[in-house]
Amino acid sequence: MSHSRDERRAELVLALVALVSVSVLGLITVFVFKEGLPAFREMGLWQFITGHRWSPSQNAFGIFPMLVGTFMVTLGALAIGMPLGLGCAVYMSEFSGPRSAALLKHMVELMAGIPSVVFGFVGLTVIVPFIRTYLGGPGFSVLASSIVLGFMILPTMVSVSYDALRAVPQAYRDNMLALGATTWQTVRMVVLPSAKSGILAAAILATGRAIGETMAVIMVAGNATAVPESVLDPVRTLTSNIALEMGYSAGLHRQALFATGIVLFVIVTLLNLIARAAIRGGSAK
Amino acid sequence: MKKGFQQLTGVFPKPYRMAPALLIYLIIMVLGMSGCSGDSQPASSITVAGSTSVQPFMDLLAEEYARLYPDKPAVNVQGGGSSAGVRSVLTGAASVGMLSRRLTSDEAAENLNVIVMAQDAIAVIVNPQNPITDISLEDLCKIYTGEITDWGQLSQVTQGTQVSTADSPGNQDSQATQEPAGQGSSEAEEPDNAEAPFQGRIHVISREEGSGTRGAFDELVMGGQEVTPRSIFQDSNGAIRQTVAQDPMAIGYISLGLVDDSVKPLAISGVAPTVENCRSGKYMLVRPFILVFQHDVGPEVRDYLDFVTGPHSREILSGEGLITDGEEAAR
Repeated sequence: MSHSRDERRAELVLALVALVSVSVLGLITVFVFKEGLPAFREMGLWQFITGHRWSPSQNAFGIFPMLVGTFMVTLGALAIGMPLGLGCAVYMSEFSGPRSAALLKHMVELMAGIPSVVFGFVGLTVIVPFIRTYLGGPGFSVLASSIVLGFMILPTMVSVSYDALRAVPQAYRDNMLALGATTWQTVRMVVLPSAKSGILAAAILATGRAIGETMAVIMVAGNATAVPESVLDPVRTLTSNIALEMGYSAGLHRQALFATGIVLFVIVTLLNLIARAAIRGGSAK
Repeated sequence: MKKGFQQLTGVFPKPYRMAPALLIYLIIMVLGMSGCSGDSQPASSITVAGSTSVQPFMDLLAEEYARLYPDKPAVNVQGGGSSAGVRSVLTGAASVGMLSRRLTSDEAAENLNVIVMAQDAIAVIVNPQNPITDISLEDLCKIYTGEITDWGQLSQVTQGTQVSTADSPGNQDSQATQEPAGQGSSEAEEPDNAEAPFQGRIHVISREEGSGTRGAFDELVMGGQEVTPRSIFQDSNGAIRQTVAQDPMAIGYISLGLVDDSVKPLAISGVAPTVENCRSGKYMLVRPFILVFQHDVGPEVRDYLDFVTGPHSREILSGEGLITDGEEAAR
């Protein structure tokens, strides 16, 4: 029957498409590990991760400052982006009317479409001079990167936690309101605790976005290879280290950059797994 | 990535039904990979890639070439940095590579053709609000190693001396920009007055590892010492110029041809970075602009290289502040 043949053909094509999309992940993994593992063999994993000195021309490859830098910048971005994003999501879900919620949602989605280089440029021309003038230091800093990233993770933070809040059954709210609680009390005591795992997932996905962002960070971070002593010091993240030097690198330097990529890959994969576990934990309840 | 995982788990429970798709997929992959090893086809345009310091000058020459010889193949100029320039010539991604430093011993061992296109000076630049006009090579080195961290620590603070930079392009206004007050580019820093010594933490700005300008700076100034890891690293001449133009405490280095009146070039031990001083050998921070190419390049590439090394191009390049005379095209 031609009907079942069509069915069969469609399945074949779609399975092919599915394989292609997955194989990109596979190819990237194989490629990054193949290029980067020799560097671990050359200098030792521990040496590579805990080394304080990054000076490729002198064959010193230690990514500890970049690990700390990534950690600080990401934490800063979360400190800025999480309250803003969560607040926005709570307002959209619990307080605003459906029309303004739709409008806000559109605007947040629009924000997700802004190229990162534009965020970087705004950071470079507004935030960096502002920090230099009013807070001191060169302006290129952990703080500048955190602010820029904090805004860049907003769309992820807002949309995922908004979905989590919307998934809380309306009956919970109705019961609370019937007991005489205000909307804020309802949000605080019932809605937020119920959506906890979804909000956690939003935060973890936003963390992944912050860790992975490169272009905007290169423009405002200053890219120093020393461990920053304050939030006003310049900093280099793992991603900017790769992007900044990959064009020039050769030999062991290039392998070390791919090895940086492996470290980043492992961190982001772990985060994704944790996020999935958090989402599953939430839906199991 | 997440969606990929879900598709994977969604599809795998039915492994037998997927077999045909898997087979076709594998065939395509094998065919695709065998296609990769093919020779690079002759391009209808000439690709020149490499140093971002040479790039703006090469752009000018490419434009002029297209204007004068509309029938000849177009020249496509790309950046990427000196090392990438050499690599792209070796891999065949570009016909000509641009370097703003000498070849490393590894690169020289590749036995490429080498042309010295011009000489360029590296200018050490500070903000126009900075009263310092002159710096010794030792002090410059100490600033970049992190030994000197404050402008007040400089041993030779020569204030009020005017550096003549009239020969370098774009510097016609340098005398005007040396007046410290009323620049308005920074609101918070206290305005300099001649009596108070200039102080404050130096914001050291350097190029990233591997850049040709950085390589030349390392060789000419640092002499094997390391640039402090506390330095800010920017990935282009333009980014350094913009940062220095905005930050009164900053010091950076860029190609002399790219200095404009938003920044102030410093004299090195009393020698101003002018074309004359470079030509006479007095100014020390001079590096070559080099082109590399394979021995078997086609006639259209040779034509273009002849144009680049010809008298008309030299005129253009020296008009842009590069030093083109004296140096013979060394094969």
